[in-house]
Amino acid sequence: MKDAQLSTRRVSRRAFLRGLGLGSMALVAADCAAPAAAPAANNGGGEAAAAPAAEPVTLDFFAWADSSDIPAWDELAKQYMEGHPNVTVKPSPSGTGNDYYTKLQTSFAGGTLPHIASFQGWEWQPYADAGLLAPIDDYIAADNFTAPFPDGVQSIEDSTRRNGKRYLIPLQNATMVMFYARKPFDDAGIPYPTDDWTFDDFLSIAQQLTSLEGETKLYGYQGSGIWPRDIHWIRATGVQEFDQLVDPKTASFDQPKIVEIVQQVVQDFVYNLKISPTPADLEGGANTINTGNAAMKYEGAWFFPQLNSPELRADNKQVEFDVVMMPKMADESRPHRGWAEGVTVPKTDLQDAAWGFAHFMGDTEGQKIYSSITGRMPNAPAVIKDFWLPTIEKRFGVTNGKAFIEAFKRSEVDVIGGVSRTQMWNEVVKPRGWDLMLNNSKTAAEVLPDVTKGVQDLLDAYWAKKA
Amino acid sequence: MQADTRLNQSAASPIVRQKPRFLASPKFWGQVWLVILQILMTLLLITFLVPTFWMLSSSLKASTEVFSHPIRWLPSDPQWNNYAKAFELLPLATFIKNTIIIVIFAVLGTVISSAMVAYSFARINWPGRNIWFGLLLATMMLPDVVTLVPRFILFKNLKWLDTFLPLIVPYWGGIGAIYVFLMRQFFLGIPMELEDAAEIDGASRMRVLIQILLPLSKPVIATVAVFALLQHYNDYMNPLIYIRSIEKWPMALGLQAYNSSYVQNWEIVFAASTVMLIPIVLIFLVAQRYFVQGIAMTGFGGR
Amino acid sequence: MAATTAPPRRQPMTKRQRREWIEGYLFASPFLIGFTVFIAFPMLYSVYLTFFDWNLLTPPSYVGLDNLVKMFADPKVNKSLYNSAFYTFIAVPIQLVISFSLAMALTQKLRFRDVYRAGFYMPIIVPLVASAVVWQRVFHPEFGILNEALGWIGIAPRKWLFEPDLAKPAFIFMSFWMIGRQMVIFIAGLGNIPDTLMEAASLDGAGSWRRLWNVVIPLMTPLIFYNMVIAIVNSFQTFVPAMIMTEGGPQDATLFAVLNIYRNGFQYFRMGYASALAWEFFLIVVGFTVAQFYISSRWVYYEESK
Repeated sequence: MKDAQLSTRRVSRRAFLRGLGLGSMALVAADCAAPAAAPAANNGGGEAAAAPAAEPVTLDFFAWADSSDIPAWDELAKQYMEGHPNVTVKPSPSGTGNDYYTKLQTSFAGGTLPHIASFQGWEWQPYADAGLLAPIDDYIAADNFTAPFPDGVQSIEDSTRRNGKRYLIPLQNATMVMFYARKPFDDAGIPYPTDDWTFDDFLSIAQQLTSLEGETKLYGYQGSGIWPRDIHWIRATGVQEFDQLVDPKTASFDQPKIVEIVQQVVQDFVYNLKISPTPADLEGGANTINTGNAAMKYEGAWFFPQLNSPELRADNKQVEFDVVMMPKMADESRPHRGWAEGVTVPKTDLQDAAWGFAHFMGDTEGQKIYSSITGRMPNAPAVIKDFWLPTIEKRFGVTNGKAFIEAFKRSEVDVIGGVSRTQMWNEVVKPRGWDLMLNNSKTAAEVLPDVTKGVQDLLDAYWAKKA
Repeated sequence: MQADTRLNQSAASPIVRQKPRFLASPKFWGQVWLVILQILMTLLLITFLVPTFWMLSSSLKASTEVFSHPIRWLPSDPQWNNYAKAFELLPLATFIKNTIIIVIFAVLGTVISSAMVAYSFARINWPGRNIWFGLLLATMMLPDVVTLVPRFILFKNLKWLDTFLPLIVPYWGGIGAIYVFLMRQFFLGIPMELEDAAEIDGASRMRVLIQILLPLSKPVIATVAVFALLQHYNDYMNPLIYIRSIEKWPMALGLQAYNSSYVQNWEIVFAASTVMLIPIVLIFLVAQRYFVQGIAMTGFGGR
Repeated sequence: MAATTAPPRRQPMTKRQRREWIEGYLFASPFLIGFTVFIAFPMLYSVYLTFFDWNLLTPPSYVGLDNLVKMFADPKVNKSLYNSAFYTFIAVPIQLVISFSLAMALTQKLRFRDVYRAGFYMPIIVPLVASAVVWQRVFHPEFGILNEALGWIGIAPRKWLFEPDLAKPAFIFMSFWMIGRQMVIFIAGLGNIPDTLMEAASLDGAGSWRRLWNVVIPLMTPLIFYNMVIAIVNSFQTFVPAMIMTEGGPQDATLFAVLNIYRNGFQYFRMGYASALAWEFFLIVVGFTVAQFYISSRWVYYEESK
């Protein structure tokens, strides 16, 4: 592409413009070719995970970088490499949340695809639509890897399948419940919450526990401050922001019931009832349940090691806690958010080797390693019951692990489709909605119609392009 | 470059004035003024150094001490192992290694290409020279951002993404305009007799450059090297968009990773910051002269 | 080169001249190539890109002038330009006053002058990422040293980076630590003011303030102008603090122009739109620079005889 002839001589205008035109055409053409990468021979991975290929391969694993995950990836890679000496797995922990997906997209956009990439249940669909991920149905069939894909669990279906093909290898069944620290309850003499508690119970407990005077502040509930997590409150009220959760066509954040619950949970908790810390309070990691300044938080199993773990207990820095299902609200079926989270295999020439490692991580041995380090709930019911429940009690002090199981039974995904949840959040819901409410400058009633319009615009643009 | 005290001529010419009482004399007020100024400057200096000092002292605190009311200025029990922890939690040693590699090659490229280009502008007459020099000057004012997106696409097509190449190769193209300018000015100030003599003896231009001009240009080369080092060491935006694998991150990216993954462990983040800061401070102390010189010569350098 | 003493003439090049031309290009070639490949071509390509919508994952689609139309109507874009301008045109004048005053102070007969100079210059060599990470915590509402220090003089703590009206002032305040470069230039310039001028003024009966206003400052105007131009161009391009400390918040108060461009390009992956934004920004900055040069003839005093 470097057109050396153009630059070492004085260039006539015509020649320069011509070169420019050609050069830019070349660049554009080169890129049109890129996404239609030759699909690797999907030979179904006839070899089981244990049969090594002859030549050495290095697998680039673009990995989720939750602090509990980083050591887990290293351990999994180490164990796998012991059994497969010709394979080198390099986990590259690359951020969490938004940051992770931005980096991942940059990686794909820049043509530097990883061989394995972490995904939550809802972010990979646009990549699959663009033909960048390898469908894994044949691999699954060849290795009889059916345990993580039980029939009839809608949230797993939605998280792993698209347009009839499977793409995501679940490494955990993710759901979120209410975590509570034992100490504030003990100090205040309030009994621990039980799985059948209601929203009013929750509110009253949070208010009783909140005490902001004195040396140590205690907030009853550490709010999440982001729409993806507040989705739980919305769905538990019996409404949803979209006409359908998979490939939605209309957005309606401004329904009265949504406005009401969002107002309560996002703004009133912080500024009127003052049971939750403000964003400023939370800056730099202060005033959290980890630091002992909040009594309850909506979190997932990956949070266990941050509160209580053998390492923390050795330094006497643990926060004793337990979990309970989210309180009962208007929707009697008590929906919780749930999804499968794991890895996908982008279309590269090392697909088969990548499948080998992904399979290892999702299979029983790998699951035991992964979940005992991170606390996450494994992808198969047998492992959950026999291994996970006792392990999390021993390692993290969680006695009510069944809350997760019950929650997952009632789970539904957030929203899935060609417009990713991250895109909706970054471009519309955060700047035009949640930021304003959390800064106490506008109410839910004022921002949600605008949010609806913004998300609808995104959806409309997406469907218009597809047409 | 020595600033001097010519501006403070407090002693009046003895011919014109009588000798007043001491308390009312300009000399007395001059001295009081000096003392006040000295105190003021000291306070200001402390203010300027406080953030850095706080960073250093907090890097040695235990994690519980960071969120304490009231704020402690010194750690009660210095935790030197915070630094060891910082090296464990993220591959800090790798970040350091990457930074060194990138900086060395980028600075080398800058010095070599700047010298060549400056020589061409300073000593050789060629058609279009003035136009190109004008372009060079224009480049000094060019905001980087306008080439951000297209360069990304360019490097993507060259398959240079996620390598060090985008952070090194362009600087071998003499695009650090300020450095070319600096060297050109310097070369112009060197008398041409030696070069003329060498050319009469039949030396090629390359020899003239390398064996005559460059040895005489040690000060400006040192200045260019030092400033280029600073520029590449501190670069954040370019690695941010070009490098994605964690094992290729330079320190700037690594530090932000500490800031986001370990946001509540201020002591770890500060320890990592200090590690990033120390080499530069050392270089600064050793090469202070070149910093000051370079700035005074051209007005650039730092922000 | 002093070799050609013959007068210019329109005749075919001598072999020597041609060789000189070739050598000229050869030695300048790193810049000729580098500029074309890494600056000129990308700039022109990005003009071309503004007519497309492209996320790099799927093929680009032609959208004509849509990006430009959208850009002028986009409230975020206008806000980002406003933010950059606000920050620049408030911070820079204050910075100049501070750096000039410090330079004046440091050319007095003070002890430990070199220590002061090194100290005031030091924050500049601290990598900006490290600075941002530390200052983020300096501004912390509860545990940051700024609120602590303000508490000593009885000012209530504020949530600096969380209130839209305080975020930009906080950034401006932080920028005062970076005046070292300007200060050094002023010190060098002050050192060049000849003794004779100062003595003459003093003999004419001019007191210190008079001398400052009528002698020192006019002589320093070239350097003041110079520092001003550089500082304005640099301040407009502020990116790292906004990216790391506030991510453009609160409520876009610190959404600076370069951050907005980066976001559109590398978080939303709208390459065409980001290119349009970058060009708009570029033209604005160039416009301001040219305007400054134009106005400078009114107030910058260049000596007649050199």
